[in-house]
Amino acid sequence: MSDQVDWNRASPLPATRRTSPAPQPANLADLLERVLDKGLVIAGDIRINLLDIELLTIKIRLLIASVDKAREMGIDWWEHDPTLSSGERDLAGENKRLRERLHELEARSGP
Amino acid sequence: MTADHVWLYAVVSADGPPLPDTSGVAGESPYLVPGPGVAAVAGRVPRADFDEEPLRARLEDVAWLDRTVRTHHRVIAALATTRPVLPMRYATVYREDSGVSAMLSAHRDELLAILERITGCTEWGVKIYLAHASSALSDSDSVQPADEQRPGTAYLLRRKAQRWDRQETLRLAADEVGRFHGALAATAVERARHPLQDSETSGRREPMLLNGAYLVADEHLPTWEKMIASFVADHDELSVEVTGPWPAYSFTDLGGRPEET
Repeated sequence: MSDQVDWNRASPLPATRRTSPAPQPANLADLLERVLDKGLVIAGDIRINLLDIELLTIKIRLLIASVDKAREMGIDWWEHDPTLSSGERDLAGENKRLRERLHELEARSGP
Repeated sequence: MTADHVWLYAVVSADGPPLPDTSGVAGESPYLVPGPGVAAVAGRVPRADFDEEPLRARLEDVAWLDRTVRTHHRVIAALATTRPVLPMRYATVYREDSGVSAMLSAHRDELLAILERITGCTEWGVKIYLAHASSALSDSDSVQPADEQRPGTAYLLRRKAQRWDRQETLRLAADEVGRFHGALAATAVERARHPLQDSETSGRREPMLLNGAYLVADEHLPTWEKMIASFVADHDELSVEVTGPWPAYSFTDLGGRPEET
């Protein structure tokens, strides 16, 4: 992919009060809230009712956590399979960022 | 009827610069469907995957959904670096270009009005949580000596006091946050309060007090940043999360202002 528009483009503002002022990625819930639930609604020819986006947010978070878990266990065949990874290297990068974000969230919500 | 369907990403002005080089939800290169004064940025996607039934089935695939949500956004974000963009809701699909052109013609005036309104602005999200909720609002059993004569009554009274404290703390914080939302809204071109998210959705344990979206004019951004920085500095008890700049996802309602909930 030639363009590398970074949807995680850093906010110049303090992203969170409790962490360093370093740029934070926009969180997943923010992205899904906008892409799935906002934006211009005009009836297209194909009628699709999306599921509850809160449920989708949770499901996607679980998916990312499980991909992360698999990688920790050394199951990372899709990263080396050209049919699976071609054109999706940016996805790996995003997953990495999300993984970091998830770790941060986990650390924050820990006891 | 063609072998492809047409996935819409955004509506833009018809006289913009060439499209950025991005790939879309089906790996395709987005193109412009021209209309009167406005144009749609669209992608040709295979009918086999994007017709009503197969698309519905694919949306059940969380990995696919995750990838296409991000791709949809990436196309819109790339456009937004080069021109004002009116983002389309994810999964807006037409059978043919002619349907898209007809839609653009039918809504021309409203689309131009929204584009004009969002020009020179970006959307910012502000979420505010009651920080350290677990410690500030936790059980204070340890510091309260038990009443040995009437342990049951003492316990109930203590619980009642804690509940009141918790409700009062939340209420005071919510009032403060409400005033801040008003101040941010006054600086913004448009504002919307989205529904508060629960912990599972937000991924955070603290209670959310504000889920605001603001359309901010570029020239007001410095003021905006100062307002947030000073609010953050004054409110140790609150955790403020700012995201942006976003394309104007929350401010695209046809023929009206977004709902204030």
